[in-house]
Formats: sequence, structure tokens, C-alpha cells
Amino acid sequence: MRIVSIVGAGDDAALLDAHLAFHLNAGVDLVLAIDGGDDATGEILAAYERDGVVRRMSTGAHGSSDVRSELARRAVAEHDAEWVLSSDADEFWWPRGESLKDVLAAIPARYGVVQALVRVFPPRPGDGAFEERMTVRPTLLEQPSAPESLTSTLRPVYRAGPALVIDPGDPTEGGRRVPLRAWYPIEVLRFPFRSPEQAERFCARGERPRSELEAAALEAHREGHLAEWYAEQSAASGSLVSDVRLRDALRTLRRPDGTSSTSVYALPAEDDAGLVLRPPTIVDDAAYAGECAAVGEVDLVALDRHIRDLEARIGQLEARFWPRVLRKLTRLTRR
Amino acid sequence: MKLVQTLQVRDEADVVGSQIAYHLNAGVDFVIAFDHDSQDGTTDILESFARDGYLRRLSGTGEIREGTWRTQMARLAAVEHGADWVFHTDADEFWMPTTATLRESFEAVPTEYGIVWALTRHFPPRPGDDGPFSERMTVRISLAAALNDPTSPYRPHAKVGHRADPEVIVRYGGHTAVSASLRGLSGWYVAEVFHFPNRTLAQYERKGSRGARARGYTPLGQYVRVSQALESGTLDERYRTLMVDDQTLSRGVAEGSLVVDMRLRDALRELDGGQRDPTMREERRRLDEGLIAESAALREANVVRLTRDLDELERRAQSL
Repeated sequence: MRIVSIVGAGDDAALLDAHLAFHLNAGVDLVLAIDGGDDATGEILAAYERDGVVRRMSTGAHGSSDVRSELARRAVAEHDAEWVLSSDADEFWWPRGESLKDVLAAIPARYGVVQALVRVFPPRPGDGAFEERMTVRPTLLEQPSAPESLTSTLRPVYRAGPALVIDPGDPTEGGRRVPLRAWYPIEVLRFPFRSPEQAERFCARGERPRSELEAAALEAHREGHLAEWYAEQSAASGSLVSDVRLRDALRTLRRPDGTSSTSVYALPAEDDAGLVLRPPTIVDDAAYAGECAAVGEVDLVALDRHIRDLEARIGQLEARFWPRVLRKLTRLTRR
Repeated sequence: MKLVQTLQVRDEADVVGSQIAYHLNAGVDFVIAFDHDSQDGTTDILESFARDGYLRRLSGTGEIREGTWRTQMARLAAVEHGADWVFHTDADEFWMPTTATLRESFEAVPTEYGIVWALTRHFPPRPGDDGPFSERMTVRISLAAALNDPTSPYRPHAKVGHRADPEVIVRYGGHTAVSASLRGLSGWYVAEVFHFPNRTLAQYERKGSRGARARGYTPLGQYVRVSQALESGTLDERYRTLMVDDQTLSRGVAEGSLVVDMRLRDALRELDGGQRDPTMREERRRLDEGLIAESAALREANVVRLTRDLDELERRAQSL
């Protein structure tokens, strides 16, 4: 099995280094990186490119759907991808199994899209490595006042196909791909705000928010109190739970001090599975099942809507079918 | 009232004798068993029950044809064995009534209903490979929310029982029966099904490797995982991920997702001691909170299954 990831390189070289090292050790075979033109991230990409595990793509556009769709199709056609992830540099796609390959290989063939559950880590105080500080996050079992939309909560992983379209709004391509619903075998650990300065840069770019947290930051920025908002978020404890998985993984991958290399992390050696991840126990899965249910992707209301949509679609097909038959019959009788 | 159990089995010698003896003592009058190419002594065990007049053994080889074989057994039960009710089992499943004896539970079904279900409750493997499985596997999984992982052996499901009908169709896995004359009674369970799918490393390997082959082109995710582990030489590690060790047990009990459940162990001990009807004991028929939560989880899981099937229909509609 071959997994190719597409990532927008961004402007944070240390983050990009961690992102690439983690995914290449977790089962990704090749990363197609959209080079944003930043010198430091360019150096990191060049180092990985020399190892043959990254291809730099200077598209000029930072990860629009069209660019990512084009790269996804190249991943399939030129790099033999069987699964494609479309990620951002601040995301770490964590498999609930021994590796991404292990998780994806067992997915029944009927499913063309596997969905990953997004975990947004809020800012934490301090200025050390983000993964050492940002080790708490909300749980879906404690519903926030402003729940996330499904498109914010779930990120798709695509089974390879010749005409792959990366559309975060509809990963099913209008129903042409069957999604695995209500179970999310990969978690996306996302770290959007890692320092006040980086949060300022993020907001200044005016990017589209991917979560309620980002929307709140953008609003605070517009109103001129981003620094206060950041400090308030950093101090929040509330119903956050401890999650040290990424911290521990990156500690494992970090090269010993003094190694001369552009990257601070080790790549998997040949014939080495890379990072050794612990599959969840049934007790872990039981708790996770509760969170998956809380996402609310499937319920009777959604099922009813789904049936109505399908009815409408079949109605359209019927409407096209009978006039076609009549035309054909008319033509035949004229002969 | 004549109660007939069907049993589909392949290489389950460590459990099949206990399973048949348990059900015969719990009110089952006759067993029809389909032996799918067993090679581990299962056939001899089935034949011994057949010689005593309790069982009829059918057999077949090649790719598994579950629905066909189960339907054949269900119809034979109606036509040739005078059954009133028929229920469908695998060798690793034990039907435990929730509020009465097995026979009383079936008899209590209102006459206008003809199809009922029993809620499956999974028992994970525990450390150790020695001795009877029922002495070791006394921990039950209790899921308050549906585990909708298509690769998990612990997905919520139910098994079916129905009034005898020579026209009945039983679907794959014995989870559903279809009949023009029988109406389904949903929302109430005639029994619990105690399920012991993985009992020892050797049995897990045998079941997984043969299961993956037998299911041909569309293997279940759980069998794909076994095949992968066999290929990569990591079967032992894979089996350990399913096993509940003492540390996991303590955490699971504290969080409510694992429950210590000795009911089958005690019932089989009593059978060994010569006592009949092991389901009769009052403490075995208590209603636990988990049963209600798991019933709700099964309903949720069934909504998910329907939604996934609809997604597949939509894909087909799109391709027209």
C-alpha cells in the first residue's frame, strides 16, 4: 500500500519539520509539498527532497482546492498512491492503530472516503516547542456552546481514483464516493495557534477559519484585542483533557543533540516501520465510540434527509429515462 | 412447543461441545448443524450428539455460503423436524434468556409476531491459553455508544429467531430472517447472546486465516487484519491488542466499558456437575443497566448501517 500526503508548507520551518517527520514515520510514503516560497521552510523541504520522500510543488497558490485536486491526481497517476491525504502543516494525522497503513489497509473496499476526527489544541503559555506545551484539548463528550460543523470536525482521506477531486465541502463528490460514516479511524491533531506572534501572522493573512477557535481569533483580531484573546485562551482549563501523544511521538523521533542535519527528526530506516504506535484497547475504543456518536454525523433526522435526497435523485433519473425511451420509440416507429 | 437451534460451525472443537450441551440443557429440543469442512475434531463431536439423537449434521466444503446454508437448516427445521421456533447460532454463541427460561421467552412472544432478536454481548480474550475458555473469559464488553468500526469484532449486533416457516430466508450471519408470513418484533430481545469470538492465539490464527480465504473477494475487515498480521509476522501482537489484561480490566470496570460476568462460567460448571437447565438460576436472569444502554447502542448502529447502505445506493444511482 502506498500513501501520499499533500501539504501546504506554510511559514513555520520547525512545525513543517515535525509534520513531515511524523507522517513519514507514521506510514506516509511521499509528501507533495506546496512550497509557499519561505526561505526556512524551503530549506527543510529541500532536505527531505534529497532523501526522496518529499516533492516540492511550486504552484503559487497556497493549497486551493483546484491545486490540491491536481496534486491528488498526480499522486495517483505518477506516484502510485492508493490513499491520499490533504493536510495542513499544523496537522498531525494520528492513526488509531499501528500506522496509517495498518488502519487504511483494513478498510472495506466499498468505502472511497475515510474520515478523520479533528482535535483542535488551544494555545498554551510559554515559548518552547509547541508539542511540549500544547498537551491539552477539549473532548467531544463535553459539548461546547458553539459546536463545530461536520465539515470542520471531519477531514477526508481519499481512496485513489483517476479523477480525484479534493473538495473539503463534499468529499463524496456528490455521492460518487461512499464515505465511512460514524467511525473515524484517524484523528487529526491540529495546533493552529502556537505563539502570539504566529497567531498575529495567521490572522493578518485573513485565511478562512477551519474551526470555531480560528473564527474567534479572527474576530478578536478584527476588534483589535487578539493579544488579550490569546492570553485568555492560554489560561483556560475548563473541561480540557490531557493528550500527550504527539509530544511523546516527536520526543521518540528527535535526533540526539549535536547531530548535524537540517531536520531535527529521524526518518524511518529502510525496512523499518518507523514510529511504533500503540493500537487502542477496547476500553479506549469504548470511550472513543462515545465521541464519534457526539459528532452527530448519523441520526434518524440525517437518515430521513438522506432518503429524501436519494428519492429526488432517482426522480431526476426517471425524468431523464422515460423521455429518452419515448424519443427512441418515436424514432423507431418513423423508420 | 418444539425449539430447534441451527448451528453453523467450522473448526471450533474447543467450544462446540459445550455450546450444544448448554443449549440442549437450556430448553432446546433439537440441533441442526452445518459442518463447513472442519478438520480439528469438530466433526466427531457433532457426530456424537447425532448418535444420541439430539442433532442432525449437514456438511459442505468450499467457499462459505452462509445465507444459503442457514436458510436450508431453517426450512428443514420447519418441514422435517416439526419445529415451532428456530434460532440461529454460531459455535461461539450462547443464548442466555434475560427474564425467563429460553423456552418461556419464546413462548411469551405474542402470536402476531414471528421474528425476534437476541442482543449479542461480546467477551474479549483474557490472558492464558489453558483450560476451558469459560473459566478465563469472564469479562464482558459493555458499550454505551455503538462501536461502528467496520474492522472490529465487537460491533453491536443481534441474532435472529423465528417461528418455523418452510419459506423463510435467513440472511448472512443469522442476523435477519425474511418471511412473507412472519412479522418482526423489534425493541424487545428474547435473550442475550454471549459471544466468545477469540479464545486463544491458535484459535484466532486458525479462524482468521481460514475466514479470510473462505469469504473470498470481500473479506470482513477483522479477517483482513488477521491476514495482515500473518503476513507481517505480528499475529501475536495483534491478538494482544484484542486481549483484556488486568490493567485494562481495572480501567474498563472503572469507566463502565467492561463488566465481570460469571453467568456462563457458572452455568457450564453446573452442567459439568450434572444439573439441568443452567439458565434457570434467578441471579442469571437479572436485568442489568448495560443491557438497556447496549440496546440503544444497537439501534444507533443499525441507523449507521442503513445510512452506509444508502450511501452505496446513492453511488450506484450516480453511476447510472
